[in-house]
Formats: sequence, structure tokens, C-alpha cells
Amino acid sequence: MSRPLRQGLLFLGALAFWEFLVRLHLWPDYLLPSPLQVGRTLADGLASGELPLAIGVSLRRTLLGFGLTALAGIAFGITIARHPRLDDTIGSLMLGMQTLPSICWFPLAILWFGLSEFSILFIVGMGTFFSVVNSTVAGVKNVPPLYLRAGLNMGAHGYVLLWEVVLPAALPSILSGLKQGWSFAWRSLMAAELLFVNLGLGHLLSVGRELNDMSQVLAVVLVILIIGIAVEMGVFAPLERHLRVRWGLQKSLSSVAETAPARS
Amino acid sequence: MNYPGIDPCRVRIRGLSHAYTNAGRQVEAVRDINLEILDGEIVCIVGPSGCGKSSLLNLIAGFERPRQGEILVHGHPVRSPGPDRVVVFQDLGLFPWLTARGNVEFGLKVRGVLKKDRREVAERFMQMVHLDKFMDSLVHELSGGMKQRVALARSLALNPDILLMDEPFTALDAQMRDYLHLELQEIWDKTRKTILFVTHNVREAATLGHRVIVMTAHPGRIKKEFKVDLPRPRHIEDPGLIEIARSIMEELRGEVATAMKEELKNE
Repeated sequence: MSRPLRQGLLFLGALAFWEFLVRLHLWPDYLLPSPLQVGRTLADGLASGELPLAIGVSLRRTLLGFGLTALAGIAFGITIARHPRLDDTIGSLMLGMQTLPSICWFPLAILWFGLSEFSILFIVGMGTFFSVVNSTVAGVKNVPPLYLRAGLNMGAHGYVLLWEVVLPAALPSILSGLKQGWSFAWRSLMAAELLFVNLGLGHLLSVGRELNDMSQVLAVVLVILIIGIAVEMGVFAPLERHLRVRWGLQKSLSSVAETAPARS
Repeated sequence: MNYPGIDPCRVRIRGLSHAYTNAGRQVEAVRDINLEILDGEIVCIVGPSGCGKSSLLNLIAGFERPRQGEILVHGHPVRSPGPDRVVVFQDLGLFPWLTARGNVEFGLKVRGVLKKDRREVAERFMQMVHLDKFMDSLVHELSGGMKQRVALARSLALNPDILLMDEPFTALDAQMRDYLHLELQEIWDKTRKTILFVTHNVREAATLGHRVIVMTAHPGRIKKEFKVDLPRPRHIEDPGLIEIARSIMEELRGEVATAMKEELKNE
């Protein structure tokens, strides 16, 4: 069975189970609407332009907040990794900051920047920044010294060495940080939008709750989920696959699996 | 050939001593090395493991600064690593994110050579190591011997004054090593590069070198020098070569024993 077919079947199975639960009538309609009802709400929302607008606003915020802080995070991470004193001090602070859920910045953002678009970007950025910084630091520090020697030996110094050797060598680690940063950004955005009264998918979710419209809540949750999966499968998975193939990690993994002795 | 006023020596090492710190202890690597390498000469250095032969190579490459003495390359003291003294590392250090071509072009790209010219040079040297069909292969797709040849092509593409080879063929099987010995001699014949070749394999040293230098066990000093005056291309099984290798081995044997004893004592 091919992979898309398996995935399709799983999806259909989940829908069938949902419909089955609805038909049991354990909960009233307004608490557990049927898949068809949610589908209709989804279609209505798309047709009326309400959903596309919210999707657009949310995506723009994530892209902006994620993009800018990711760039800053990579630059900052490289700086830290190349200066042992910074690494000892700020480096460990960065590790600590990563454990703080970025929605905790919400009160601070409101007091500093008010109920503004910038507050949302700030919270999204705080979600991204620390994981990108930390993975960049780890990636740069783990560049095999042999690559640096080879680069130096062939005449690469300073920024050229950084651009041509250090960054490519650290790219796998940086990419996994970007991936984590993206998922943090997306989560923080939803949390922030739930609290702000200001467009976006999270806002639609909170409107659904206020109107007691479970069908809208579920429809929006579906959209959020689909966007998350689409970015993962459409952007990060292909990038990671590309890197694995280039570095020859894909091949070694699968050949190891093939040659692994059967367990007795 | 000698021209008045031009130093016929590529590399001139005078009174070189070096020590490094390992786990808080000073380890003397080499002591009072005096060595001259002529233009277009292949000099092989053999010695027991830990005799400082790799240190010597790192010092010439400029990765480390000597504590005492000086190293002149073409009359200029060595201060930092540079593409005039390219190292072929034992573990190669090919970049896995680049193709074979990308690796060979790397040094030229860094130097700012135009893409068109880079391609040309890369093609020429990949041809020289018989890998022109593998230009666009990724590093992990190449066999051990092929990787070794890419590393060689990458170094040659920089047109260095001197090629520093640090046990480059150690990880290869015997057949591949034989083959690469012939290939390296062929390349030398075409390019007449000055080559310093560090190895622990006495026969390999006798096959490749115009001169073979035996180093003492820790700290490394030059113990004896052998001239190998045999016609090229030489093969590792040549009878004359085996004869010379035997006398080199004799010289080395005592040093290996000393190195072993010292290692056991330290533990």
C-alpha cells in the first residue's frame, strides 16, 4: 500500500470514528457537531471571506515574527558560539530562556507596546528566538575542527570561512532549530490571538467560544492543524530530506536498517 | 637547477623545537629539527607513532607556531595557514555539503577566481586523478580511494608551493594504496610539486620519497636520512626498494621499541 493511500485511509477512519461518536448521541449537537456540520461551517467561512482573511492575518504575523527573529537568532547564535566568554554567560541564559513559554511575555508586551500588532510580533518572536539561537550555538560549536582546518588551509579566513564552511557545516542543526522555532511561533501566535481581540485565527476561535458555536471552534482548530501540518510537510520535511541526502545520512540509515541482524 | 640569488630550497627548517600542552602537561613534540627540502623533491618522514611527525607537518602548515627555531618557505617565515602549503589530511576533511567539483573548486572560489575559470581548473585536476566522470557526485557517494583522489585534486587545484601529506593512504586497503602510489608518482611527474609525506609505513616512504627521514621516538629528532636513487615509477614490490626499506626498518625498529616502552610506562 502506498504512503498517501495509507494516510488517506487513516484520515477517513478518524472521520468515521467522529461520525460514529456523534451518532451515539452521548453529547448534545451543540457540544459535538458532526463532521458534515463542521465541513459546512468551514465552507461557509471560506466563502464569506472571513476565514481566508483570518488565515492571511495569522500567516503574515507568523512569517514576519518568525522570519525576522530567526535571522536575528542565527546572527546572535553565531556571535555567541564564536566567543567563549559570551557562551559561558549569555549562552546559558539563552538555554534558560528557552524553557519560558513565550505567552508569558504577554503581560509585558501589553504594558510596553499596548494592544498593538507589534505586541503580537514580539510574543511570536520570543517563541522563535531562543530555540534558533540555541540550535545555532550548538551547530557552530559542533563543526568538526577538521573542516575549519581544511578551510583555513585553503585560504578561507574570517567571514569567508564563516559563510563557506561554518554555516554550511552547522546547517543541519540550524534547520532543526528553525523547525522548532516555527512550531513555537505558531503556538505562541494562537495563544496571543486568543487573548487579543484583533483578527487572526485565534481570534475566530475565541469568537466561536463566545457565541457558543462549537462547529466554528472545531472548524478553526482544523484549519490551524492543517496549516501546521502543511508547513511541516511542505517546507521543513523536504529541506531536511534534501540535507540528509546531500550529507549521505539517508543512505547510511536505511542501509544500516537493511543490514541489521534480525533479533532472535 | 641552481640560479644565483635564488634559494633552491622550498622549505628550510632551522633549530625547530616545539612542545604542546596536553591535559595540563607539557609534551615535547619535536626537538632541534634541521631540514631542507629542495624544489620538486618528495621527502618522506617515518617514525614511531607519537614521534611528532604530524606536529612537524602542522608547524609547516602554520596551524601551530613553533616555540623555537624557524620555518622558511621560499625564504619567508611561516606565520599562519595558507594555500601555498596545502595539507592532505589523513581524514581528508572533504566538505559533505559540496559535490566533488565543489570541493575541488573551493580554494579557488575563496580566492575569488571566476566560475568559468574554476570549472576549467577543477576539470583539469579531476582528470589528472581519473575522476572526471564523478565531477557531480556527492562526497558520500565516493569510495575511500576516490575520496582520497578528490582530496588530492582539491589540493593540487590551489597550485601550492608544497603539498603536505599526513598519512593520507593509511585508511585504504593495500591494493588501492599501491594504485595511488603509482598515481601520486605520475602526478608528481606531471606537476613536479614539492611534497612532504608523513607516514609510518616504511615501504610506502621508500616507494615515494627521493629521501626518507627517520625520526626518533619522543621527542622527535631526525635520526638518519636515506637517499632513494631508484628509477620511477617505483612499485612497492621492487626488489631494490625492499632492500632499502629493510635498512630503514632496521634504523626504525629501536625507536618503535622505545616508543612502546614509554607508552606503557605512562599508563
